[in-house]
Amino acid sequence: MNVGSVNIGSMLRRGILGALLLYLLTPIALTLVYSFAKNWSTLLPDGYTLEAWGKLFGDPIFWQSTGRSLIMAASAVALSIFFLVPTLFAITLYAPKLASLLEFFSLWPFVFPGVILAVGLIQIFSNPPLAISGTPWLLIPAVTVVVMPFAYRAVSNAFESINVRELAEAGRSLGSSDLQILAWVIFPSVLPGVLSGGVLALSAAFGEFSLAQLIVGSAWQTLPYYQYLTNSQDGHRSAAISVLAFGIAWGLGTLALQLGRGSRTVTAV
Amino acid sequence: MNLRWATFAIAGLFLGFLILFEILPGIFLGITALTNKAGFTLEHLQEATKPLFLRALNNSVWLSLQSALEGALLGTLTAGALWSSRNARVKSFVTALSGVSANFAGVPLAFAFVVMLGASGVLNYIFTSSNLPTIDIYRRENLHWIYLYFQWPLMTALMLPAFGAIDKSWLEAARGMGASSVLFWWRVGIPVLLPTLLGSSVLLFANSFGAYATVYALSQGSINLLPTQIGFQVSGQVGYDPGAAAALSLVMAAVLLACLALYRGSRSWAERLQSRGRA
Amino acid sequence: MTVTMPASATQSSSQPVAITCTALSKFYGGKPAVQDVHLEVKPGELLSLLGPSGCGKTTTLRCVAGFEIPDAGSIHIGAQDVTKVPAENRKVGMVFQNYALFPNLSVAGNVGFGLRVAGWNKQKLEARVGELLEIVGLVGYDKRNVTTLSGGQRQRVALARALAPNPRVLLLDEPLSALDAKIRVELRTELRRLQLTLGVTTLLVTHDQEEAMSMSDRVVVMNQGRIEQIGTPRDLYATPATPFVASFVGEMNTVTLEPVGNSSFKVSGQTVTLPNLEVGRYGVRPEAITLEPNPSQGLRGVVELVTYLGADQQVILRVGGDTWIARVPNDLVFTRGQTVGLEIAAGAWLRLS
Repeated sequence: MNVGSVNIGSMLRRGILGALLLYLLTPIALTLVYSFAKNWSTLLPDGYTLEAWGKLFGDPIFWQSTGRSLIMAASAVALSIFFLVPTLFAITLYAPKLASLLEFFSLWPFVFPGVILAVGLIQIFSNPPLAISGTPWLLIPAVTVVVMPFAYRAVSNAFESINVRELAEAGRSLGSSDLQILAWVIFPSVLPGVLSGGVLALSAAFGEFSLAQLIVGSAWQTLPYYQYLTNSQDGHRSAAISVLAFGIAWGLGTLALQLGRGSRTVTAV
Repeated sequence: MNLRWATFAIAGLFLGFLILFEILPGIFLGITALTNKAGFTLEHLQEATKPLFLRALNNSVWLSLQSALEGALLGTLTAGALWSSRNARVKSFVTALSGVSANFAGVPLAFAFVVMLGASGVLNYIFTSSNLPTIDIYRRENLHWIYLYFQWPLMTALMLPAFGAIDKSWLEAARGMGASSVLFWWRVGIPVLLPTLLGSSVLLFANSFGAYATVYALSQGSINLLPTQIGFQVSGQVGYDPGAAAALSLVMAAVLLACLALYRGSRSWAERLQSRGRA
Repeated sequence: MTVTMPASATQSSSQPVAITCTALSKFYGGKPAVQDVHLEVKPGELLSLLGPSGCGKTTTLRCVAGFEIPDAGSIHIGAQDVTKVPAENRKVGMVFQNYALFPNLSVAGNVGFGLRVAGWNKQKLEARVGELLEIVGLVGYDKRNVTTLSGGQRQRVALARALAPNPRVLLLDEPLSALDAKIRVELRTELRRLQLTLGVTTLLVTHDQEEAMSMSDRVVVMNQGRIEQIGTPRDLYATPATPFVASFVGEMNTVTLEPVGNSSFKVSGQTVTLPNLEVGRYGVRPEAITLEPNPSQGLRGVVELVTYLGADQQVILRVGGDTWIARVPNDLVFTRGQTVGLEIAAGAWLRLS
């Protein structure tokens, strides 16, 4: 920076970064205060209480919904990884030409996002032979499809960060089978990237609402749906859930960074 | 068991899974939108042009344009600020926070904004007592404030790698030749960033165009947007009309497909620019 | 760095064997990558495949390693026909251009990988790994993560890993090309000394003619999928069989002699008398030229650039429309713009076609 613009430049920089932090943290901070507030209609709350948090943690439906969200998210992520790791291994090593097909599948959800995916799924799976609409048996595959692009990016980045082909050749020249190479070298090497991407996908799946609302609704209530129902009954409890959700997203995001180490942002497209 | 065939078997299962749960729903939408009991028909698409739905489309386009422009402008400036910042801790904190917030949407976000800007929201109280206009977050024209919450950090995260491609020594080289920093950004910086800037803006547009959870959580669908109309027509709270839902879905998919094409185009433009820089 | 040999390592566990390629051909999408290649790496010999990128040298090596299946021809290691034997059963050691070290394993984990695959027990494996780390000069590095090593150290780990399971032959794919110039020269000598001590039959692929010339017993020059010439470094330099070899191996001034009269030719725009030569293309090595400050007859040139090289100097001359390079002793001082005579002994004109 030349002498004259030093202050202007750094003021602009601080200004914009400060504005972003303010914009991102204010809603969370105010919601946190609200969750402890007794009654809040002026500048400051009338008093503070743990009532909302107490009610939340004392509600068995909350725990049930959280458990279901966890089951849904974990199943969807586990399913994506179970499919993606062997598929990417097979494609990189045996059929590189099929890579573009996989990329096509990873782009499709961009054109058919949650709402319209749900519309299509409901039409197919409301009638026999596979009348699974309204059950987690449809919700979990649907969430898997929606988070698959995230998981795909993460897993394929992990595969690209090592030269699978050359490592396999090195292994073969040392007398090892492909299975040994997969188990002893490839899998341990891609594991951090896969886990990191998996955690990000988990975070996205955990908060998934569109599919849950349209496919199962109250029939198999997950945490975001629980909050949606709570909104109209008890704002303070709902605020507690918002804070909790942000805390979980922040925790999982940090964990993903720790696991991935290469602070790469994973975008779906 | 032979590893090659074992992995191909899993890949085959994956293919079946994707066809059943990803591709087939899309194809079914097309079929539902274009047929009735008698066969091929345009009646659902015609229905999709009725004023209510056209207003929804119009609202969605404007909301997405506005939130994409706001996010693109602020996100690009923020990424630039991070790029020029020498404080590694600030950098990594803002980057991490952006990553989390970019994906933080839906019910929790909607409620956080209700706390601030709802009927008895604290910010609105402050606005009223300082004689400033209040913001009613339940109104459609104020939705963009919520969308900005994830669009701004998303754009920041998308633009950071593009700024990373600008070597700080270029700026020094330009200085060495007597160019001002304004001239540098005009002649070098912006042209290098432009493909990513345009592509990411398109991504932001699409991100808001297909967003359903946040606005539904806020208004139970009373805000007339394309995604909420689609949700309405299948969840059957007002009128149950799968044909219309499918036709509207097809309209949305067409817009998103155009976005995808534009985005991919901008990506290959950026890659060409980069490879030319290396050559 | 010096190479120290544990007593056990110097005793070669098996007799070295030959590698024989017969009529080897490989096509990619109808285009020939390797065409009708016949070559033999004699037991204990280091043979280099030298050529520009895309000449087929790497494809040939990959066929020997078993990563490519040749479309025609056969490969023998010793007496065994390995043409259709999968790579993992060939018992060849290979060093890759980018080392291909296993990023998740330590130095010891990498070196011992082949032994672990072969089911060696822990004590024997550790002893063998220690032995190899001693050979490549990496004692004390066993626990280190390979990603923290320098290029030269990675190279040594890759070599130790390839040698650990006592391979029948050693294949080196551009093993030094990713290293800095200084380390490259150091490792070149070290690698050759090690190969001679172990007596392992070695096939080396390189595009660097200096590397091939300095390390090999014999060199195979390849171009466009075919062998141009096989010979000792000395043969290739002194009597290149083709213009390609002449220009690829060492520096060479190439000119065409055009007819003028009896024993007179036009060379670089000047008429000179050269008995016993015919019309055609010829090459002259830079060091075969003597520069005469006071020319009387023969070729004349103008000094354009003098580069001091320590032991001698390189003089770039403009001769008519051509540029000539001469490499001459340091005792004479030439200045830019000076006219000198180029004296070339009759035997130094190498016929190229």
